[in-house]
Amino acid sequence: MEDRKSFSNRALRGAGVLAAAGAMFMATVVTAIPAGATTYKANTNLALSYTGGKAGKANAKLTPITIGYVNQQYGNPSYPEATQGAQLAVKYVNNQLGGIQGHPIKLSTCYVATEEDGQKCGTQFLNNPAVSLVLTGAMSVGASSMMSVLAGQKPIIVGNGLTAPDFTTKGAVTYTPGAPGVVEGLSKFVTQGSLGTVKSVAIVATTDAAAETSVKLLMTPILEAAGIKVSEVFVAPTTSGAAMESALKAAGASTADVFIPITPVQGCISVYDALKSLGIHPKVLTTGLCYGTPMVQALGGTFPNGWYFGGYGASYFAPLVNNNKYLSSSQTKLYENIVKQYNPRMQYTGFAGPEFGNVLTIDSIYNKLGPTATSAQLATATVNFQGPQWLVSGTPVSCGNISPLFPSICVGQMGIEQFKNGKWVAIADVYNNKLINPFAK
Amino acid sequence: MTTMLSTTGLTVTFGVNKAVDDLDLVVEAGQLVGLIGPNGAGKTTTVDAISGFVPCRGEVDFLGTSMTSLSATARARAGLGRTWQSSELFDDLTVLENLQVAAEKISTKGFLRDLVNPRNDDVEALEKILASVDLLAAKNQLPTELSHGQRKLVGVARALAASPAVLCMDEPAAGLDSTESLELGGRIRSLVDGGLSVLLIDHDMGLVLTVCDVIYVLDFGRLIAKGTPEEIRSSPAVIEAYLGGGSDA
Amino acid sequence: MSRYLQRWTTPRGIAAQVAILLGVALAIVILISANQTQALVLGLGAGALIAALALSITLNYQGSGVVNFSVGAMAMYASYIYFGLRTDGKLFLPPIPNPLALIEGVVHLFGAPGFRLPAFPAFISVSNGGSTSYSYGAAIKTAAMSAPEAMVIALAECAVLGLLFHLLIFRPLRKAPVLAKVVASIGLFILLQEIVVLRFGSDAQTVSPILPQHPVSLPRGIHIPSDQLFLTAIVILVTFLLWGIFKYTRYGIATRAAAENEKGSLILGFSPDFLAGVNWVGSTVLVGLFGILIGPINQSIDPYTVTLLVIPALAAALLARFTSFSVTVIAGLGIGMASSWIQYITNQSWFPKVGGAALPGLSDALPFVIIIVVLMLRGKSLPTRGSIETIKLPFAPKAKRALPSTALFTIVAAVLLFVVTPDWRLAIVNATVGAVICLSLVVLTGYVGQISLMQMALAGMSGFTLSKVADAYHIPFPIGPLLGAVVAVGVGLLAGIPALRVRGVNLAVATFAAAMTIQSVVLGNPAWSGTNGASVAPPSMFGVTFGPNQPWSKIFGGGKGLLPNPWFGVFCLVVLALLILGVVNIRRSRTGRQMLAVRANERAAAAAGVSVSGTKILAFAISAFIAGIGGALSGYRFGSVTADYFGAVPSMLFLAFAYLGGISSVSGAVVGGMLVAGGISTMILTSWLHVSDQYTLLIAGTGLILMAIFNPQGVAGGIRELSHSLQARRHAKRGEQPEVELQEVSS
Repeated sequence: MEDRKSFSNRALRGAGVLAAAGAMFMATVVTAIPAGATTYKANTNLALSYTGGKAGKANAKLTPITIGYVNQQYGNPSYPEATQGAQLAVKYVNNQLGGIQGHPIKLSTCYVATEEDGQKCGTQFLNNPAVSLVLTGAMSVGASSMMSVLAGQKPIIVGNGLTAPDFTTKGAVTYTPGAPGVVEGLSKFVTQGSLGTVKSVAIVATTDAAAETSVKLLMTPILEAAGIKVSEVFVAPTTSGAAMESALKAAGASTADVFIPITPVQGCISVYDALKSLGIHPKVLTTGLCYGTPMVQALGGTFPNGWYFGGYGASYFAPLVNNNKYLSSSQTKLYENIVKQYNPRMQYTGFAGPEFGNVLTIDSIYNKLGPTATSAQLATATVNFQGPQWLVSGTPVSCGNISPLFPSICVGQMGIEQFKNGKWVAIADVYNNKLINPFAK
Repeated sequence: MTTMLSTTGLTVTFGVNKAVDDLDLVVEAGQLVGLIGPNGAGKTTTVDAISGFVPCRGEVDFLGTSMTSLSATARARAGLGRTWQSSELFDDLTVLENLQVAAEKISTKGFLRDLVNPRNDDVEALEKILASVDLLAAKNQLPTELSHGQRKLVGVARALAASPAVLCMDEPAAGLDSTESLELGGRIRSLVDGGLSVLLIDHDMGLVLTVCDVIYVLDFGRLIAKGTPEEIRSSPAVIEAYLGGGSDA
Repeated sequence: MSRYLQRWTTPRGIAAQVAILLGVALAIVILISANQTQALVLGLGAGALIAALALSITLNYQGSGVVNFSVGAMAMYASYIYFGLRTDGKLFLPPIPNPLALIEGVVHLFGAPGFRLPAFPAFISVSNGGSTSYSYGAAIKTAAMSAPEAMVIALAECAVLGLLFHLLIFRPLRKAPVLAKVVASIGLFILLQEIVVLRFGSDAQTVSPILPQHPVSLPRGIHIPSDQLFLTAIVILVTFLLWGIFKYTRYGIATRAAAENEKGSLILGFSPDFLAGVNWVGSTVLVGLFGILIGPINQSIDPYTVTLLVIPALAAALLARFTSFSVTVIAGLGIGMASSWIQYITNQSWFPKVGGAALPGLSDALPFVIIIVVLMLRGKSLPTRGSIETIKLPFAPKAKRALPSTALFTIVAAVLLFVVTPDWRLAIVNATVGAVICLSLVVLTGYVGQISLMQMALAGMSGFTLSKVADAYHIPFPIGPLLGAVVAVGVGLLAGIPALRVRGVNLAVATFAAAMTIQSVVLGNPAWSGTNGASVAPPSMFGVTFGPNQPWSKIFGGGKGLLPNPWFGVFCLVVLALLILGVVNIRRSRTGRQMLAVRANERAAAAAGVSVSGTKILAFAISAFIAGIGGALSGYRFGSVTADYFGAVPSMLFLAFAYLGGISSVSGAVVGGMLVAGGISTMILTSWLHVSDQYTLLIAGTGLILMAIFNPQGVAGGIRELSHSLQARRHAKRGEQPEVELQEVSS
């Protein structure tokens, strides 16, 4: 029992950095739609069927419903795009989806840059009787102190989980598989044989304890249990192309059946360069972090050819196939058009998309309960929400039953896609109905 | 007579220079011993070596025990006091506190008690010392507010506060005019008459020749003469060193 | 010959021989393995940057006696100047308070909210900019400016900045105490970083290569990328250049003379001021050049990575005693290569594992280990630069009527806790916890003059211990935090005792490296504490729980009060009050007198029978204990402890806040507490002055620099002086003399 507990603790701590991977995967969208483009009347029916609202503007005379919103807006690191996504959704809901039974939604915003701020925000929300529910953007600092204030008092929807409290706090839910899901999912993907017979895997990960522990606890054991030979090499997060080459050599990336780099995007660029200069072409399997904007810029507008990327299971880049009953390309199309209509210059990559979806989910939950919903009602409703979450992998949500180690995670699917010859190919995702359940025993 | 302080073969080297070379020196109980020499003769270095501030070869014995391996602090605690040419007072502490630092011994028990209830022991004895140098009125002043002469006296008083058995005084008269200097000489003499043994370093020949019982003369780190004031006055080596060196005297 | 024999047979000599032999043996082992040699060689690029930063530190030290903690930030800043020019053709400017905003404010007041006057520009366009296209969400820009053009302009700006740093910051501080210089350079560190974050954000930016990048093959299948070779060659070239200048030109000789004694340079016909200025320009251009060149090797620049390389660079400079250029460069390259090698071997299967993972952060610990080993092997204290006059640390007053004023302060603050809004209540709690940490610095830095940049790391040791013992062994409230504080004392002594050989800025460097080591190896070690922190259960005694999130009932009128629980604030205040009284008593007792004696004059203290090292050790222990209590309070406050909160940079910030408040008095610690993040000053800025959160650190950095220059006594000392001068004026009116005059400390 003791062992299990400490294992879970360690596993949690490892979860941090990689959550960003999944979130980025899910939400990387074509930015900077030219200003002044033809206004496109978004098909609001799709959104209305999700939220259960009525078309039209919310009634400005009715009391607004206040949602606590907290985000790491400034400092190192910061995720301002999450706020843009949330604000866009609020505008859209109030303008076109009829608010919450006619009441407009209002965000009570609190930003964190320090641990002290987290406590302050938590206290503010707890003390504010108008706030019955709290939504987070993305926080790598302050979540711990904020959640210790709110835990069990007011429900928290974690927009983009980054650190352990996001996945373990009582009363918090996250409608994504989170970082643990992505990392474990990659391992499951390998053991399932989708990449052919795999006898050896080479892993290069950064030494930040988060990535390192994720690999040690959520990847290597699963691979080894499947009889795969694993070699791990850990490098500094700032490792340059040259040092990366030696890491790749040490890990045996050229001879292994599959090569898995688990690094932030800058490390991915180093890996790409190192592979090129070593002249080797292994099967590369990695997280969505590796096609962040810097990678596209470094490659002059494209992605590493042939690489497999793991994420939340849906991508705007993926072939637009409408063969899933929950998630269709119309959702992504609609999101894109809402951006065009309301704020064509906004940065809607990164954490913006999941945040947009979360606000729509909140709208739908509130629409069912009515504008007077209490924290207790909302807490039950957020846990019982079955989804699927707007713009996420598209299968039902089930809070508390996905992973005993990460009780806040409500989604048990992740997906893999490949970029091949200039095109995105669905490998195991929502578009071909081959989503992977990373937490399945 | 008991030997209070003695050095045997005391040698201090700085790089290739021997600042003090094979010096044998003795301070007997109740004696006022002078150590003189031209500038750069190694006088201050000798005091530094005796009090543990420069590494040296040879032996330093104090009250029959070897001091050679002890730290400066341990030598001071054993009763080997010293003063400094430039007073070197604790400028952030008042005059009285300067003396307290030297008088107080620290202990774990004392520290813990101080945390709850700090006490000032022995202030009366220290005030007596201050009174003896006419500085009682300045006891709550900071050293920076005092004149040069007063600062020098605080330096002496601080050294006395530790109740040393032997006191090495490094140029106590430096910067004083001749009247002040003679007055200081009188004070030192009365300390010695009160039972203290003193090693007095100065380049004021007048002062040293007036008050000392025995005088050692150094030149270029070597002992060139030793004796009573009369013997020193007539020593050709001393005259040669001072005149030949073109030094002040 | 006999002298050498003598030197080598001392215990230290034997230790040195053993160290050399071990080093040689290690080198042989490394060279036998091609993979290990490869790892070593690949550290050259980072090593070259560390060497360049260390060279710049040495130049600054020689020229102006400043040990520049902001040297990494300068390199980072330069890389962003280059980046801005190359990609957008724009030169970015720091945010300058706009005087027009005042006019705007007045007009708005009179009911014209739409009135806008031009703001200061954030960028100056130098070139028209390249074209931008978009692909998969990424803006793909063509370069706006060629690399050489951008580099020349960037370096020119570096030269101007170097001159400004000298004229505006470090020349006014020429005669200031070491601590003021350290604080000013910390202020500059924060300022440069925050400007970049404000202009470019904190995300990494991709930069295109400058130096040719292709692998150069060496025997045994080892290879090295050509850009790293170029960088190494450049740093060696620069070293030769500096060596030549300092050896053969009058200017160089004068600088060396000035470093020994400023009068020396006057004899050679150079004013020390001129030399300092030239050295500032030179050193800033040097780090700027390397900042620009290293970015493309790492493929990216961000505001943090290069900035923190100041720690290994300081280690390299310290190794060379801030004098020898050649030793500095060898040390810098060595540290870079050794880090790369350590990373390689810790990944080997034979390397000992902790909790299934390789022990993290060992390469972060390298600078500290190097500093400690060097200090152990090096007999004498390191030299501190001679200058004509140095002003001491601020005056350390004895608190008068400490018990009543502390009691009054505590009661007033406690009453406020119940009266104010929850935001202000949190601010009071944060200020109280901050004051405890600042108080730990009053004892160590204020009373004994030992600069410590590891207080938060010690606090973290305590906080994590508290979490651990409560979680694993169910050790109850008063014992848990005390155990934590004891662990902090142990770690503080472990890091502090070797550092006893040094003082002043060297100690600051050693403790900074220690903080980095504690953060990476201990606090960030997943096996022990993890990156995402550990939870801390609220304190409770006799069945009463008084954590910040514990529900509470109002005293008057009953009913549930808003959180945080003010009784937790009362608890923190009582702890602070007890610690304050303890520190006040230390100041009033023999212990305090001995501490101040050591601070004032170490050799006179020794001659007065004071054990200098004993006093320092005691101060380290007391200080670590207080910091440990602060760490425990912080853990209770957040209900958790996280490694980053207790890192090297926060430790640095806390020294700065303590200094701002007034480092040598308990009232200064209280003011310092009010200034920390989330404290009273943050509340005033954000809720009264409506300054956006993103500017608070920028303001703190600027405030630090200004305070170091204009008021080295800190806020508390400034108030004290003001009240004394008012008192003096009153006395003068009545024709009296004030009783005791304070020692003048001017800048």
